[in-house]
Amino acid sequence: MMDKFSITLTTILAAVGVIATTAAFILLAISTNDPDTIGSLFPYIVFSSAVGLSILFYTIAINIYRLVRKFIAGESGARLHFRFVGIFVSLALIPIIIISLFTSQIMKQQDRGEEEVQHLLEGSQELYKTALNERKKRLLEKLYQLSGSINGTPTSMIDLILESARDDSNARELILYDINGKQIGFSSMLSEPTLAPEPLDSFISNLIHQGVEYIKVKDNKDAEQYGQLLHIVVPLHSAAIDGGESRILSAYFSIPKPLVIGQEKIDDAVMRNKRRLYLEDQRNTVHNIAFILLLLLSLLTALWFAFYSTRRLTSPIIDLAKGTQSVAAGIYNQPLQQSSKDDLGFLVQAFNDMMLNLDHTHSNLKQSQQQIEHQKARLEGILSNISSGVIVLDPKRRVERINAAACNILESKISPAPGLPIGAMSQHNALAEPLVNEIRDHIQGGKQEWSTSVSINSSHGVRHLFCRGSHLLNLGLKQKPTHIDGYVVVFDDITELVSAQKNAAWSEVARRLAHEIKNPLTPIQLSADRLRHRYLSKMDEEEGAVLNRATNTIIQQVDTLKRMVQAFSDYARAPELKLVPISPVKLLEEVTELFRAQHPEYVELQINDNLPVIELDRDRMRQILNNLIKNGLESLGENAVANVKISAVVTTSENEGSDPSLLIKICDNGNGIPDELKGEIFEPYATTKPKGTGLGLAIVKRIIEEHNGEIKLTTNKQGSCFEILLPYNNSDDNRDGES
Amino acid sequence: MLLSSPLRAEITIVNPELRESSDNFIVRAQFSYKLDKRVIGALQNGIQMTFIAEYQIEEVTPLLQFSPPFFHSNREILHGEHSFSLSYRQFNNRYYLISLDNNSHGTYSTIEEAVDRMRLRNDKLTIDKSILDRDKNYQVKIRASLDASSMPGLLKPYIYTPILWPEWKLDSGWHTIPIEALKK
Repeated sequence: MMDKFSITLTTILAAVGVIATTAAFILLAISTNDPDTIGSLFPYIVFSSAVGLSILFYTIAINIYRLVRKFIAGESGARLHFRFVGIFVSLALIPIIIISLFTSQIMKQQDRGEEEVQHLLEGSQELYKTALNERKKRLLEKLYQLSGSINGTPTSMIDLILESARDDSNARELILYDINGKQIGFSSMLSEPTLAPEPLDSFISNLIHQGVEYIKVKDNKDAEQYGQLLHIVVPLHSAAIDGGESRILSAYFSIPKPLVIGQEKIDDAVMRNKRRLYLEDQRNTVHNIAFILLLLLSLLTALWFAFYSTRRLTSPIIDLAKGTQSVAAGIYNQPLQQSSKDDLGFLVQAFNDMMLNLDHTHSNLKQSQQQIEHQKARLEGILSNISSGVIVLDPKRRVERINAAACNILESKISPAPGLPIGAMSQHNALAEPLVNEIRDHIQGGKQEWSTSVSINSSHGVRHLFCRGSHLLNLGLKQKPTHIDGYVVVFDDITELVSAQKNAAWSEVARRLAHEIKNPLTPIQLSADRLRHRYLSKMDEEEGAVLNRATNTIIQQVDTLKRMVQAFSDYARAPELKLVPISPVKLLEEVTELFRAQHPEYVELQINDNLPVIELDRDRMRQILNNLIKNGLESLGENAVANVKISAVVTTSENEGSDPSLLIKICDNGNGIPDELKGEIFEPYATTKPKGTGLGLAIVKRIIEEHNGEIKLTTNKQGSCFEILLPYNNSDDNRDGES
Repeated sequence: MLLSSPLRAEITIVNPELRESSDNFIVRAQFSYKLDKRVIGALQNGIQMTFIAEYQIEEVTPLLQFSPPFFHSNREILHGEHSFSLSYRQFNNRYYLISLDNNSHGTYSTIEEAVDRMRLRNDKLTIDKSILDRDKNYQVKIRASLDASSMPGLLKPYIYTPILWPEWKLDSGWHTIPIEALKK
């Protein structure tokens, strides 16, 4: 809305400005050609110029403001625009300034010529004035000469004397007055004597009394006949006249006609020339004003045109600059508007074609990139979801990628940052050290493909990893490997597999041993018993004691062997679990109660009453708890009883969505497990007891694993601590109090 | 006194009056002239200036009832004017004042004398009552100004654009006197 209004206003202003400026130019042209019209046209010239100049000023000011704002903001093309405007303005200003200087110089020279003419005319006028003054002087002298003859004349003879004197002096009129201005004598060619003679003009009389002569040029009524008259009044002083009284003589002399005409002509010429010069001066003033207006209008029009042309000229260039910026910013789908069909239009068209090509190329590139990203994500997904750990190294043996499984196996919560040297991995995670050493050694070995087994001491005990490595070869254009582009290492946690294999082997050994040993044991025991019954009574006391001791030893050892065989049998048999909902609270209380009966002070149970009811094989759980508590009590050796603390809590894993677990801890303050046995304490035949079979903890582990749980050994400051983790389904979470 | 303001010319109407006699109305006014030195300069450079004293009788006819004066559509009933010219002769250094109505003239040695004589002109306009209607409103308008039409073309710009050259603003503007006596 505002834009439309602004455009309309600008258009109207531009139209008014163009009309006013054009009118001003036309009126100035007319008035310059015909100076008589300048008076009537001047108000219109001033008005149209004022309107035109105001609009031009406004438009140029707006343009300058916009340009400066763009320049300060550093908009593209502003500098170019600024430069072009400067060039155009300079081009417009230089001829205008030169013309102005020359014009003013020429006008000054004309003025000097005109002034010389005026000086000549005024000189002529002064010459005429001098001539007239000379004549006045002569006439005055003549009048004073007459005064001698008039002064000595009696009153009755005065008119005759005046008549004679008038003829002699060529005066037109002679009148004699007494000192009071009363006429006493008269001789005139100008008028007839009257009955009541007029007295002397009081103004003249006053002058005479003051001793001043009166001389004045007067127009005559009969100017055509006599021309101008020179009126001279002088005092006549004589002691002889009527007791010494003075008289006043008034005389009119005609000024010669050529002199009058000459004076009039010179006077007219002087005044005409003064008028002409004055008007010329005014013409200069008006023309200067007109010239200044013309100059301003031309200058501002040139300025405006400079802005307009520059905008027209730079607009496509600025568009191109903006287009280039768009391309630099990755915008390829905004073609420039082609406003002309000239060279710049061709350039814009070429730019648009280039932008189109770039857009096409960019689209293809983007598509390819998306495909790569998709494949990368897919590969990432695969790597994340496979159970094998994968580490990809760059040619400089820095970690390029490591998948989640690798982090899980190496128990690293944070995956190493890309770019971390493989050697530094072991500094961040000590668990990874054996693996890192193996990888480093094999890479240094230079074999293209390699595999090895690595054991690491995890928090769950010793873990066995099977590790395979290979070079990543860069395939050149001909699909032939050119150089090593990195290394990939894949490793699996085969602890369970190894354990299962071991279990299977041990089970087979146990089964065979049980089978092979169990069968002869009963006949051996029976035979030993029969030997004792048959021969004991037939022997003397000493021999009988030997027999008795020997047979008892056989029977006891056979019993021991039977128990051992039974243990082997139990280990090898692995009967199917009978899961039933069991309250861990009740189970633990029942088991600990048995031991408390024997060692009330050494067994401590710390459990909450609200433990959930979970599905367990009651007998086998009782079996493992008995085993572990018994081991704990015996952990100080045969001659002492250790303290055993049993606790149970519900724990939740950090992983979201995973089931909660029941954590049972059985800790003692015994002698603990030797370090060399810690790694294989759950292996068959690993025992610290002199008479132990070494199958107890192996059976415990197997039962726990059959419950999908896990068991681990942690060490206290003193003694050992077994932690049994039994996961259970949340839906079965019936609190003990409710079951 | 008359030339005290060097950059401001002025013609003011002094003592305008409307006198009534049995048959006539007589309009009189004196005009005070202040001539700037530039105007006097023009005079001394041979530019003859004609001054006009104008008297005008108008019938006042408002376009609407109670409408303001600029909405009036007045009709001129009578127009009278007295013109005189002022000039200067360098030879005898005298100013000439000539009435263009009766050709009477006077010469003055100073511009002050000439301008003072211009002020003392006592022109008047006599209005015959018979040309006026009792039921209508009339007003007398008086104005004195320099006659731009008699000036050389190159000086007209000054007179026509007095806003730019206040020294050439030689126009008293119209002074209006309503004629009330007829209603009495």
